Amino acid sequence: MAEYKRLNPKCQIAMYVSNAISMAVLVGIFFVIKYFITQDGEYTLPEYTDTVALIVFGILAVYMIIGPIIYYRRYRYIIDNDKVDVRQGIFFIRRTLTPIERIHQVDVSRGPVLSLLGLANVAITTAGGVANVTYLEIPEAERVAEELNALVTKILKEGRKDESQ
Amino acid sequence: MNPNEDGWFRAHWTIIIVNSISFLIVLLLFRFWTRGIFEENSELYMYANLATLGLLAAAIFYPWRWWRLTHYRLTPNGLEKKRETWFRLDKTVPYGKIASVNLKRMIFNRILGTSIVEVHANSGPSAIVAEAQIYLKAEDAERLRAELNARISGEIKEDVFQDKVEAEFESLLKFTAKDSIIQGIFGVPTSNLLASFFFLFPTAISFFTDSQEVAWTFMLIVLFSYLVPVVATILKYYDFGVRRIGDTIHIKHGAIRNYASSFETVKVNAIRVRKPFFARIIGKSCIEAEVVGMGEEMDTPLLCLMVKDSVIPDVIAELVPEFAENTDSRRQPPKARLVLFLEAVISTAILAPIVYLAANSIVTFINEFVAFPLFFDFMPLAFAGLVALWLFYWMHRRFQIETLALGEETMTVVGGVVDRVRVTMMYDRVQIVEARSNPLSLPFGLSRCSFSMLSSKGAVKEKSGYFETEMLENIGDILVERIKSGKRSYSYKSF
Repeated sequence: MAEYKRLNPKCQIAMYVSNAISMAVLVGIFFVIKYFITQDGEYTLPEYTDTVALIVFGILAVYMIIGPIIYYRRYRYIIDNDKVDVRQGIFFIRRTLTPIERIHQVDVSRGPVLSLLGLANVAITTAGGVANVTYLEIPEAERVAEELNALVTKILKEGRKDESQ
Repeated sequence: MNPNEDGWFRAHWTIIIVNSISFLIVLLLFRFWTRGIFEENSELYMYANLATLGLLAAAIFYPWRWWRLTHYRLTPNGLEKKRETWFRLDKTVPYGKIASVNLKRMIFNRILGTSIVEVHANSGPSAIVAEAQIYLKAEDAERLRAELNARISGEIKEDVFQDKVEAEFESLLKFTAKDSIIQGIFGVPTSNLLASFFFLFPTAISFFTDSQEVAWTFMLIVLFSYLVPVVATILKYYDFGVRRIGDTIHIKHGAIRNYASSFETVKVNAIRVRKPFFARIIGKSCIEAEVVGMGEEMDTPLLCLMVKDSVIPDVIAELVPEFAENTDSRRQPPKARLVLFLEAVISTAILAPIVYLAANSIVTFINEFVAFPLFFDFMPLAFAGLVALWLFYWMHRRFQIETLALGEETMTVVGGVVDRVRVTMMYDRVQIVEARSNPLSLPFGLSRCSFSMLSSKGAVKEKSGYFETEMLENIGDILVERIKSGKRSYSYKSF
């Protein structure tokens, strides 16, 4: 019976970089909105605005720091001849099971951050939705995609053979 | 379309123009609307112009780069798409999973002499979004389409959704105009009804504050958001008839536009017995079918208009006996009550203060125009209290209502505090099973499960209540076992 695999520890770096970018964007949006509201002097924000913003960003920062550690420690996946089984989550734990036979197509994608770290995401598309296996090393992701595509093709051919008999 | 030695080809260069245009329009509109702001400050005006030029350049550069680095190829197994921009993508659509290959020509295509080849796989988050859209010269698009169809050869499913004028058939049940009126009035989701009537509140305020024009505007919103859909539904389901002949279900209805559709029962993934709140009061329900591949219609077909609850099992047994399996429903375990209670506490802690502040602002505003009696000052507190009561009642009812039944071939999920819904789906049509626990349910070993399947509008998820995590995760294992044992009735060709 196949055993659950874990992710490469580099995934935490990828998540930290993404989180840092997200935080920078959120802080930027906050300051831009604050500037446009208050620039004419016609409107003023309540006095507690900065305090509330600081608390909210503080909570977000804590989540963004500890989140990747928990995500990495919790993430497990199995890809075998029957199914793709992924267990993941930080506060919300989920187990996603996708039978191989349901798979329509498999995509490998990576943005600039993942490319730098040599990681990629595999998106498994079925008729009913998409399941993802994230932060795999690029060779592993390509191998997984190739194997899944081969399995899907094999199942399709066997199905055609059954129908013609 | 000139494939290189490895068979890779690019889309026609005119896609650069297409991809640039939308962004350019948005940019120009933004620049037009903000011209007043920037012209007051010359330094900011200069920066704004520089930024605009930069964005203009990006609007052309990035589509060009996308076009240059995106390639397609026909392989023995499927259509491959490779994108080597900063956001890389390698995608393969197997021929066996392609549902249709369409050619589309819009106005700019006709002007530029191109066509769009759309490849639909009836999969993914939306069945109506193409898996690939390739812009090519018109003759190249024709050739690609022919080539794809040849490679698919025999895998293309016949379009069973042919709008054809059906001969008169004897409907299973006799539906009158009164039934279509009841469907129109009581078949609307209660949330839509409440949203429409929500505008009655500002209408009343506007009348009180002598803003007649505003009041009539809100009144028109109420009329149009409620009345128009009701009338449209009544006209749509007028003269409704449904019959099963062999393995095909035939439906006809319509007063002004005639709808006549047929679909094979093998395309039905699930049936949904819907009882909106006001329909429950009069003891009626309707039956919907989640049917794959409705194409342009994008509607969930009704198998039965609002009828008495006692008639529903007989209609299901007659039309879709595959979904008539009798199984015992499991109720949520007692621990779920505590989880739902904690959810109510957290929801109240968040929502009640917001409602209080909002109600307080409204009362303060109204008090400027109309002198209300003293007890109106307690209205915000009363609203917040009502919200809290409602949330606790909601969670209590969720515990009572949400059940799960696991049969041999089907499973049934019941939910909906206001609008009751009972969904019966075949194991073999479920694509992904996901058991999810949150910080409140995790200590109790409970989760909620969502079942993804394909419907007429694309992917849809049905959710269960709180049950033991182990039991829910086992459902996914049941699916895999059915496939391994060959017991499943799932046909890869169906999807």
